[in-house]
Amino acid sequence: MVVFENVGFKYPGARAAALEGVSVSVRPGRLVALLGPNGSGKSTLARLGNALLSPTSGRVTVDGMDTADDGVIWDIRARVGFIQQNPENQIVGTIAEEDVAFGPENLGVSPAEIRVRVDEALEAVGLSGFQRREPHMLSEGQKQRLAIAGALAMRPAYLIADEPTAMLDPVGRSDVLKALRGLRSQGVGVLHVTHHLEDVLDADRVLVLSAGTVAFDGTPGGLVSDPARAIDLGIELPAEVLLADALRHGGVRVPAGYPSAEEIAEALCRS
Amino acid sequence: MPLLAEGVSYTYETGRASGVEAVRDVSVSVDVGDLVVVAGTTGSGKSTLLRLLAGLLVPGGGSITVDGIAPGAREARGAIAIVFQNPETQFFAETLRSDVAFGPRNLRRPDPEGDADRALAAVNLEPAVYGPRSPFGLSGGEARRGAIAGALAMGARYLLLDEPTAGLDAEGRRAVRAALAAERASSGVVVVTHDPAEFLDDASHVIALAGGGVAFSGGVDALYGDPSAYEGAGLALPPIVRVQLLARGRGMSLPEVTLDADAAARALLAARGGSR
Amino acid sequence: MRIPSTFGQYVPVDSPVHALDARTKMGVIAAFTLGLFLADGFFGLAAFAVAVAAVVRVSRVPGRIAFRGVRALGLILIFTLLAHSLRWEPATVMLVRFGPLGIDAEGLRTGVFFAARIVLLMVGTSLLTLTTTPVQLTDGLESVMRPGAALGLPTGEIAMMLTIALRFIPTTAQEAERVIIAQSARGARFDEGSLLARVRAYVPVLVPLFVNLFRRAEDLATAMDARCYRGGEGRTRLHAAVMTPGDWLVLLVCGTGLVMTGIWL
Repeated sequence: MVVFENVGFKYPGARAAALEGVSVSVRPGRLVALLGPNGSGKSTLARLGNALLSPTSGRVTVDGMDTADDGVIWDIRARVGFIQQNPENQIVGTIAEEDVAFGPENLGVSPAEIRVRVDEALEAVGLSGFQRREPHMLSEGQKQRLAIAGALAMRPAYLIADEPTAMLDPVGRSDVLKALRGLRSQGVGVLHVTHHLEDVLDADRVLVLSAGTVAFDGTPGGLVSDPARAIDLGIELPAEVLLADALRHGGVRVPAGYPSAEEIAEALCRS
Repeated sequence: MPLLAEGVSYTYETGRASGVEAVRDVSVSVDVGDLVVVAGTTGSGKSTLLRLLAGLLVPGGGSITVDGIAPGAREARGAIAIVFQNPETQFFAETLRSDVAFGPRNLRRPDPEGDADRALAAVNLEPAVYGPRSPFGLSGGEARRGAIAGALAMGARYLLLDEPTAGLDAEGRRAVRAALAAERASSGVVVVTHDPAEFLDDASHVIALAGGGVAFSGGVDALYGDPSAYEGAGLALPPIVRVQLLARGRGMSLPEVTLDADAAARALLAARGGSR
Repeated sequence: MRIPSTFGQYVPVDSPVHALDARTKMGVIAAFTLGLFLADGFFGLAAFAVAVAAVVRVSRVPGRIAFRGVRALGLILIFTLLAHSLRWEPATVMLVRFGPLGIDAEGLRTGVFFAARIVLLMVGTSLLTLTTTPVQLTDGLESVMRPGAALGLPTGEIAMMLTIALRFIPTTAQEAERVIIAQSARGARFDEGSLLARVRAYVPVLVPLFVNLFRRAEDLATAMDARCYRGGEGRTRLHAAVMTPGDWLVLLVCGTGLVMTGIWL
């Protein structure tokens, strides 16, 4: 379990704290979504999760290891994978398989084992056969999946994804979300930082940050069924969700949650 | 005279797409006041079409003219302004005003700084506040708008934009859409995007590309009347529109289809009440 | 604009030369260079020419590609020839005369010798990059540099820097092209005006490129930290380069052979 206990963080020289009193835990196989407007502290919290940053108050533990303990930093980072927004700037290798191998190489894994992990990781993200492809020949979505494969090859127990689909087109976005879902079903605990609530509707838990503090802690359904609250929190709900809500208020029996266009139309036409 | 593409085709000779016919027999007409939305999935040829319209590429077949001459010609300089994807990565000047004034300065316009200030105001970046700031310290949405202002400042009759709202949050997208809507008063605007949903309420014309060819070309009403070709190009109408079209299909009377949830709800409830 | 591949010169075919360890090839090239400069007659050059031709054949690299670089040398070769053979108002007998200029037979002979040596040097050494991938090269370099680690040289890190630089060559080239097009679309001209004006015209290209490079460096550092990079110590490799007995044999035989040829001929 990755546990954030009442964490606070202040960047050196900043006027206000970026985070204050945030508590949340990520369990294996579970998806925790982290939403909030720009500047709410989401990226900071993400970086506290794998010891890239150390909390200025409170603490973060990964399977019992404290991120503030210098002695276990590398064990923590081997346990918690991390992918960022910009796919291009995470790729180190001159060809795909060398980039995926980067993590295990750093961990001193044997060459034979690295080979196995690289091929498995590429397969898991749908990039089988891309071993010798050069990065600049890949689409942005493929690059991001390559980055996920690179994290996977380290056999992490958890993965923190900081707005992984922000720079992708719809196809790339859908492919990356599929890869992340695959990881979760393999038992990896995922912390997904995003702007798009519709990407994390299947999350076990949703946290919404506002100016560094937790403004909402619940389930996706809790936000979808209370659009006024979501808007207050700075979450953009898709138009059809707002429509469904407005229709419900008008007496139409639209199914709860996130109904499809067909379901809404169906409900409208039923007396 | 409009920006006109008639039956243009283009095949890349080098690079990743070499040998592939990226654009095949496409025709577009853009006039001042138009907002033409060119939609398509990755590889559909939309970015290539944009470059052809801007005069950056010469068509292999067909012709492109702006006010009667080729867009790449010397005389056409300044007629078309193009904004590429992620334009905020091209900032270089010390102040935002100076960066935005780069275009008009190169075109030897008489008052580049004035053009810059007007453009900044058009994208809702207060010139007195944002003008002297460094372009590198702006937030994502501000930077995007600042970069778009760089194109607006050129005073071109036609404005071409590639994914102008990609990567922005809701507020940023709204600000960009508002700026483009205002520009239509004096220019013809072409927006290339893989997610045209947010532009459908404003568009005067929609073109859907698939595999380099035109799958659909027509007004938004025509699109809503028969979205099959559009969907065949791999594009999907926004769910809220689909709800309204489905309701219409079942006999509910809806005078217009909108992207605004409140307006749509009111119209649907009224239609439902009326048909009971 | 053709985007340069990270692989640059590398010709991806299967051959005994390709299969050799990078270090073997580097050692043989070193011996080749030494031997070539020790050789002092056309007979010696001929021997080395035969050696180069033989390796090109064995490496299965198309001759056209192997000798591609010679064209770029054109100017240097002509200059070499003229420098050695051209005489102004010579007193002695010349091979050919054009007014005050004369071509000296002995000088021409020397010029041809030096020019031929330059050609052989270029083709011979380029065989290294034609048959070895950049990563194999940086790995080989790192291995060869390793004794330097004992002296405090960060050999692992240097090799990593080289690899990352190679990896980003095509990406940076693409970005540069994008920025040039974008600024051109805003009316920037790179081919007008004085030399100074043309250089200044590149400021709107270089500044964004550098800003992006710095941002990239930061993101990359975070990514490398997250993937547990802590320097060159203790890293294993997916493709571990090993010197086989065959490698040592080739290194020894070819190495000494080339140097000896240079000394004898």
